Amino acid sequence: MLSCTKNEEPTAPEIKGSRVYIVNNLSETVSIYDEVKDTLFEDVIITGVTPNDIYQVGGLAYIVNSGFGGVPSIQVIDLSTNEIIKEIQLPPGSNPWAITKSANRFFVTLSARNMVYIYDSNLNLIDSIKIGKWPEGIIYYKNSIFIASSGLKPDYTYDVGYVYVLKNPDSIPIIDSIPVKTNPQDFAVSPEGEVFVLCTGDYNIQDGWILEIDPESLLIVDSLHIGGYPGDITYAQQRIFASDWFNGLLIYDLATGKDTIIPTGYGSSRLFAKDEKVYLTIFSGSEMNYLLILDALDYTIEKKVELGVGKGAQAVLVYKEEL
Amino acid sequence: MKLLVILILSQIYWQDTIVVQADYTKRFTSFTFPYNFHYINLDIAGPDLNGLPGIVPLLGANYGTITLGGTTPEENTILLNGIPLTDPQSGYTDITLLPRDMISGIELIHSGSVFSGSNGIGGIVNLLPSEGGMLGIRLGKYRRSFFLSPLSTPKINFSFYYEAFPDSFSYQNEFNKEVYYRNTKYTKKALYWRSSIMIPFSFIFLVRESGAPGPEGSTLTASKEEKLYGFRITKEIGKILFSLSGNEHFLKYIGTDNIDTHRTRAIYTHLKYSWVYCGLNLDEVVSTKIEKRWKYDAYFKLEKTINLRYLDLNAHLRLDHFQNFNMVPTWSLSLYRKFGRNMFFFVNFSSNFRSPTFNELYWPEDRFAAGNSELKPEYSKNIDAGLRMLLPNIFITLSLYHKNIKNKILWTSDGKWIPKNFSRLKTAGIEWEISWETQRWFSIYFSGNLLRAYENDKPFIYRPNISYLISSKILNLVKLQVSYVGERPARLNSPKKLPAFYLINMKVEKNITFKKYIFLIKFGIENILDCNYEIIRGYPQPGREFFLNLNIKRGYYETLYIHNPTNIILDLAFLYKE
Repeated sequence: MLSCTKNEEPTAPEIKGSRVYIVNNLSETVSIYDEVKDTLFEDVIITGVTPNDIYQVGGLAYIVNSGFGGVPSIQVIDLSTNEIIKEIQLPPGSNPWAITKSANRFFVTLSARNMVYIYDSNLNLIDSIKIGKWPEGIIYYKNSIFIASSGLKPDYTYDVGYVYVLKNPDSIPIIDSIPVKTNPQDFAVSPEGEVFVLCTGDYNIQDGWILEIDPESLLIVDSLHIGGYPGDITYAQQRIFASDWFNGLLIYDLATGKDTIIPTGYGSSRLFAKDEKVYLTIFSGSEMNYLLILDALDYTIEKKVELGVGKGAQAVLVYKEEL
Repeated sequence: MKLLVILILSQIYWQDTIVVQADYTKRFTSFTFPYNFHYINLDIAGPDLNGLPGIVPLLGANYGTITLGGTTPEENTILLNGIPLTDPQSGYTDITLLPRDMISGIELIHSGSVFSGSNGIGGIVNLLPSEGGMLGIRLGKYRRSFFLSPLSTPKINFSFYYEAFPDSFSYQNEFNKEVYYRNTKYTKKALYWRSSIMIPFSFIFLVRESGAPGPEGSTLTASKEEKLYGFRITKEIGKILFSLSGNEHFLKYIGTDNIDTHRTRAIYTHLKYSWVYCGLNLDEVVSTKIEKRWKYDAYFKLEKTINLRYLDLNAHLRLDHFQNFNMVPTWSLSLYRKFGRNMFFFVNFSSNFRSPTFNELYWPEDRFAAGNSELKPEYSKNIDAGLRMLLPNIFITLSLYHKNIKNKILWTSDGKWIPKNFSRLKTAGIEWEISWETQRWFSIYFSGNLLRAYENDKPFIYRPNISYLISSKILNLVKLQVSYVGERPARLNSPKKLPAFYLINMKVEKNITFKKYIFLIKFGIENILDCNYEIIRGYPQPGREFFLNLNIKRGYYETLYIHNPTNIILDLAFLYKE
């Protein structure tokens, strides 16, 4: 049978050891930075449409493709071969945002549907739950799923933001919620049992905040005004790191209460912390994109990796493979 | 035999200009025209616009255009029988506004700034209205249309067109699931009036009500209401040639929580006396987005042709003065030669430019985008060369082009979409047309492009390296068209590609002559393979469509009506007079 279309897929190079996966939102690829060889492998994996998140479970990574201009999907990557081994479709127009996993289930926020889809560990759909308004970031922590309901409305203004909590996520979840500041987007957790939620504000009148939530009582126990244009948050070495689109990297030392700003240039985007390092992507649609690798203790930039022009570098994941 | 007749006719009508067939119907094109020029008969080429020489179609849903030589839409000027269609606010010409039955051919010239001023880097495209029919009806799976020409003679034409498309169609997505692409509906109405009695003029009035679907998966439910008026008048008074043309666009965009209206007006005047040209172009926009703005472009041009011993030379020097920019000079130099009666060679060097559009300059800063009032014009240096050859029953044209565009304006996303002068686009290509007619039972037309388009040294989005079209007519009964579009980048700065695709169209048509009328009955299938394909990512195109078409023509058009396309396109600059 004559086929009317054809396409060729790239072959992935073999990369071993510690490496960084950078999701390029505009070019819709994943580049891999080999930390051992100090080498960037550009566009190793072709993602789905508008990739927004990458999440690791064991030797697999899960990419959430929001699907603007195409079909939303989740792609599963075998990190040992850097090849896509599975891809499932999500509802058209649902704008999936992020993914996390409890003990046995995956949870995916579908922003445009105000829902969370629940999958088993093989990505078979088993349930869905209505959650707030335009849910975005999602994490699993201490047998609870935390969901940032941004409150985004169709006219691009914001209702009150909420954090929804699904307790007992692996059987019949119990839903609770906490009102927070404007546009909660993402979370960071500490080994000490603290959950931090980043509320970006509306990039206009409402400023950005970081709120600390007690995961047991679900009360807001502390807050930090950060203003500006925050985008992502992570935790490392008793410090909170938040990216700010214009101002760079904001760091708050929880032990000393000291805050620091590291100027990184325009486009400070997504964060990932691993061991004593913090990884930050610098996004650009027209100029060079970068991956910055910082020492989480003294804040020195140990490495600045050029990722290519106009790639739209966003989500980042560090994978340390045992050799 | 037919070609011999045409050659004799050409001697009568155009004296020393040899006119030949560019396809296997009764359409004609100039042989010794010293520019990179093509004439395309859409009855031969089919409805898909793929694989045509020089042309890259960029079609979305109820929005789309064509560009030349891998350039962007704003770098091209698009006309309908000399009527300017381009919307000065966006710099874009939405050719999907036109009913499909309205257009029978396309003529194009690469590298046209010495004729059009701005928007000439790619070139000039002149869409040719269908004329000669009285009545046509099409019943298709998707598209239903009719046209009526109560007055249709070589000197005057008055036609009405109607076309409708349904609210959705199904297609298979990349997961091989059948899904629906929605909000695709439209109704188009058009009135076209042309007269060459006393004062030659053309007039067009178009209305479209349509959905404005977002890309695949989008929940956007917007709609559009559009109107376009356009006209062109030419007059010769003594040795002075005068032309006045213009258009008015109205667009009402109805979104889920907003209504935007945009009204633009454009007036273009040209005067020619001997080898001196001048003109004034005025553009105005009144928009809920960019409020009321206007700009002018005044130009002065000299043009001279010199006959040398071994080569002929045609040169243009043009100066444009814009409201927001200093003087912009453009020039063109053509060297050409006719070898015997059968072969013609040309090479053309030119500089071209395009000025920023109203949207690029003044779009108000919102959540997603902002204009950039600091933008400068784009400039390009172009080289075109070509060879045309006429052999018994065969016409061959082979052209090469190279466009080196600096200061290129592109909208880029750095948090917000902002147009910048940051980019450099280099395109180079080879395009060809070969038509061959053997006896009366078989004809074939083969055209295509090899294109290399690089933006900042990376492959440019949506520009295929190869596209071609093979069209053939068998036994004067069956027309078969096969087009191929190669892989092309789906994203900027990315190896991600849209897949290559083939389209096959077929129709069976039969003429029945009754007294002075010709009844033409067509039955056909478009996209026989039911190919799921996209030209612009996220905008699926309809699949297989069966249709039945009935046309009634006046017979004398078959013998008397001779169309000389070069006159119409270059009337813009009076290179040749009618």
